[in-house]
Formats: sequence, structure tokens, C-alpha cells
Amino acid sequence: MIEVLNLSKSYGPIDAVKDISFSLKKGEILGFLGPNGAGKSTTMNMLCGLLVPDKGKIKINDIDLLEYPKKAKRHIGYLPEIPPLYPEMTVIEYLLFCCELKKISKNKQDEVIRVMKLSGTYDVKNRLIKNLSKGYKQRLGIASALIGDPDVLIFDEPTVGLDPNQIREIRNMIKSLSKNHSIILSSHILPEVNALCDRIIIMNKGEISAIDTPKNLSLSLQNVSQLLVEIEGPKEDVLYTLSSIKGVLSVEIVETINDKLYTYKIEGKKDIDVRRPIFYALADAKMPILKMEVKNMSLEDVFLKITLNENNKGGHTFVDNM
Amino acid sequence: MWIICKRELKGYFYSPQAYILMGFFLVLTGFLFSDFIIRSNDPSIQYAMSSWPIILLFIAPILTMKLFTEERKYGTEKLIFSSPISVYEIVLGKFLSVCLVYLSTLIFTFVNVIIVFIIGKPDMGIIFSSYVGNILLGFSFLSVGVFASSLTENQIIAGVISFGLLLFFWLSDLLQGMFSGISQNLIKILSLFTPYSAFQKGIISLSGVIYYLSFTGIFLFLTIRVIKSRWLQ
Repeated sequence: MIEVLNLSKSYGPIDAVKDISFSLKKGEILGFLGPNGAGKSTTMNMLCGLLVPDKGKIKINDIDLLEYPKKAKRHIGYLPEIPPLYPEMTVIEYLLFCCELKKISKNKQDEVIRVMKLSGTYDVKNRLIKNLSKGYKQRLGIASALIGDPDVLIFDEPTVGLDPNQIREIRNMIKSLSKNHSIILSSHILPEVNALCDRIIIMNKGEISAIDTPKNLSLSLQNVSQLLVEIEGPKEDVLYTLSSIKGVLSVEIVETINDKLYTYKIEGKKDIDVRRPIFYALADAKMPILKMEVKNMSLEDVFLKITLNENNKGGHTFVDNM
Repeated sequence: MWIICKRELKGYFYSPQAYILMGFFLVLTGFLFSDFIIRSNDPSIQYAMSSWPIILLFIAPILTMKLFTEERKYGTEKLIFSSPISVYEIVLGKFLSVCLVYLSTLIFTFVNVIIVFIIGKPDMGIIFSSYVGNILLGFSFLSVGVFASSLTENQIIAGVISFGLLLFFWLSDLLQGMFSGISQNLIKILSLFTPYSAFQKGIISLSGVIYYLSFTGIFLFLTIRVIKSRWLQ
């Protein structure tokens, strides 16, 4: 659907996007994740033909966007961060205008009714846009992106500024749209990307730091395995037994349940499974394990780790609010 | 192009904006016309028409200042520029819409012409050429306004810039006397009013027509350049 090769864009001395390449497959939801100013919006704007890249190639449905912009843009529906609405128009007028802009050849009325039903804006069809709530404005923005049934939908932070109910509705809508469209969305809300996306691109300072499925991302970046274990027994003995096991890097008490029962956090080397040695060692010492839990690194941890590490590498400690 | 033009026209005529500006223009021109006839006892319209450009000098910036600034304010430029439509179609569409507003205003001034025909025997040729001159000069003014609105995100600043530019092109006619030689010729070329006087005398000069059309063309071209180099870069 989309092929991006060695895309670069700089604003004066600042490199907004540095030499990035990726592709979008049919029916896939691809998430862009990164702190503010990471280059997500710049990349999206280039994909929609709003910005001319300094270098690189963008192919949409095998059509070169830079060579044949008019033809390529027909395959894209774009929802910018702020939905592009004319406040003095009614919902129907606006969508009809979008139909004309996108040069829809089939019956415009039918197309408008189709997208209004899909996006849930049918109830407000005759209202002036300036009187609509934020949630409806966002839906209308999505409706305008859907006009002409484009193959690729690009949503820039689609749930920003909505209340939790509306966020859920918009997410469900995006999920259902992915049946017939390929979708790129950007966000700095981690659970959102985690829940919606098939693949995630983590961007930082204009570069792609990681690109993988949410699950693989959290797996591959764990270089330690963490266990939470509830063990009954005097804590000094438990600590001694545990730290003498091969492969255990550190042990600490995270919770005191009573004077005999504690929860320990055990960090082990990634490639050694320490669960069995722990079980046998504690069994020998007659200190029963009451609960054992493998702690996975959440996507948030991964994200922080990647972006913080790279920021530190560059000599900066700048992390944006997330 | 028509899509953009149609939307802009709707914007002008669904809001009081166009009516206020048209009314302002018609009241002023009507007043100047009747004032001239009553005082001079001469049933002709061309002298009153010679003051139209000065009124337009104030109206053109107000009419055009929102064209591109408003798109930026609402973020709708992203909708338009991500659609399969080219920059020149957008610029021409917007320019066309303000031209149509201007032309529709001029239609109402025919009332003055009819009055002149009722009370006297005016020179048809002079009236016709004066109209052609006003239309061409008006297009030039509006193209400057379109250009100014592409420069900034702020309507007021856009209005001030286009007013300043137009004032410069107007005043350069008066400033001619202060210079001599090449600089005088240069300023004469810049003056939008130099070719206008020929139209007033009943002459539709080819050079005048070409001057105004190329002036308009240059400013529309500059607008396209500005959008391509500043908005899309």
C-alpha cells in the first residue's frame, strides 16, 4: 500500500526526519509512537503531499507521490491533528464540498450518506459545524477522510482532546475501519497504540528507533527477566538462598505481607530461566513459594527505555511530556 | 478551480461580509455620482468613475484578506492541499471568487449609467472604456490582496500588507515628480494609475490591457510561489 524509502526532511539546520524507510501492508494498522517533536507529524504530512521531502521516495499503491501527486492523493484519506473543518458550513455541505475536492464521480449524496453513517455523524447532518462538540468534530474529520473510500487512511493523533467514552468509540471505529483500509495512526498514548496497532514504529528525533509488533517490541527489549515471587520464610535466609543461585542478578523485597511472608523482585539474566533453580533451592531450604509471576516489560517501559537511551546518547536529557 | 471558487462565493454571500462591502462601495460611488451631477450640471458618469479605484483601494484588502489566512486559521489548508487538486487551481479559484464579487458589485452601478442615459446623452464609448479600465484595475488590486493573504496567518496583517502595497502603487504615481531620469521611469512603470488615464479618455489601449493583465498574472504567480515554497516546504 505504502512504500517509503530514505525519506528526509529538514527545517533549516534542524533535521525533522532523517532517512527513514518503512512500508504499510494491506489491512494493517501501523502506529507511529514518539515524544512530541519526534517527526511523526512531519512524516505524515509528507505522506499526504502536504510537505515536499528533501530526499527520498514515497509510493502509494505503486504510484510515486512526488511525480504524480494528483493520482496518488486519490488513494489517501487524511485526518490532521486538528480536524480541517469550516465552521460556517453544515455537516452535509462540508462533506459535499469534500466530495467535490476529491473529485468523486459517483453519486455524491449517496457517498455523503455512506460516510455519515460510518462515522456516526448522520444525526447532526444539518447542524452548523461551529456548534458541534469536539467528539462530533473529530468524527466529521474522520468522515471527510473516508470520502471516496481511499485505500490508505492516515490519522494524526485521532483521540487527542476527547473524553474517555469518545476515545473508546473512536478506537472502535478505527478498528472496524481496518477491515477495508490500511491505516497509519500516530499517538503518544501508549495503551492506544498497543491496543490498536499491528505494528509500531517508534520515532525519536526524526529517526526510527524501533519497528515491530507491540509484543515483539516488549520482548526484544528486555535484557533482564523479572520475577515477582511470594516466599514464606525468614527474609535473611531467603535473600541469601536466592542470591546464591546462578543467573540471579539482584533480589529485593518489594512488599511485606507479614513477618514471615514477603514478596521479592528477582532479576535474572535474560537467556537463563531462573525459575526452576529457584524452586529447587527454596524447596531444599524448606521455604515454600506461594506465588510466582513473570513480569513483562510494558510498552511504556520499552518506549521510555528507547527514547531515554537515545536522548542520553546524544548528550541531551530532553523528554517531552507524554 | 470551480470547486474552490464556489466555496469562497458561498462564504462571501452566506455571511454579511460581501453585502456590507458591496453596500459600502455602492453608497459611496452613488453619493459621488449624484454629488458630481448636481454640482456640475453635467450628465456624465466617467468623472465619478475615476474615483472608484480609490474606494476599491480600501475595499480590495478587506475582501481578500481572509482568502488564505482563514484556511490556515482553521487548518483547512491541510484538507485542500492533501486533495487531488493543484496549487494553481486553488489560487485561481480564490482569485476568481473575489473577481466575481467585484463584478457583481459593478453590475449594480449600472443604475448610475441608466440615470445618465435618462437625463442626458452620454458618450457610450467613454463609459464602456471606463468600465474596462475599472475592471482591469480592480483585478490587479485583488491579485495584490490574494498575494498578501498568502504571506501570513493573520487576517489583519494580510489586510495591512495589501493596503500598504496598493497605497505604494497608487502613490508612486504622485511621487513621480520627485524623481528624474531612470528612477522616474521606473516609478512610472510601477504606478497602476498611469495606464488608467487612457481608459478614462475613452481609449482601450492594448498596452494598458496587457499591463494590467500581466500585473495580475505576476501577483498570482507570486502567490503560487509563496504557497509552494513556504507552506509546502
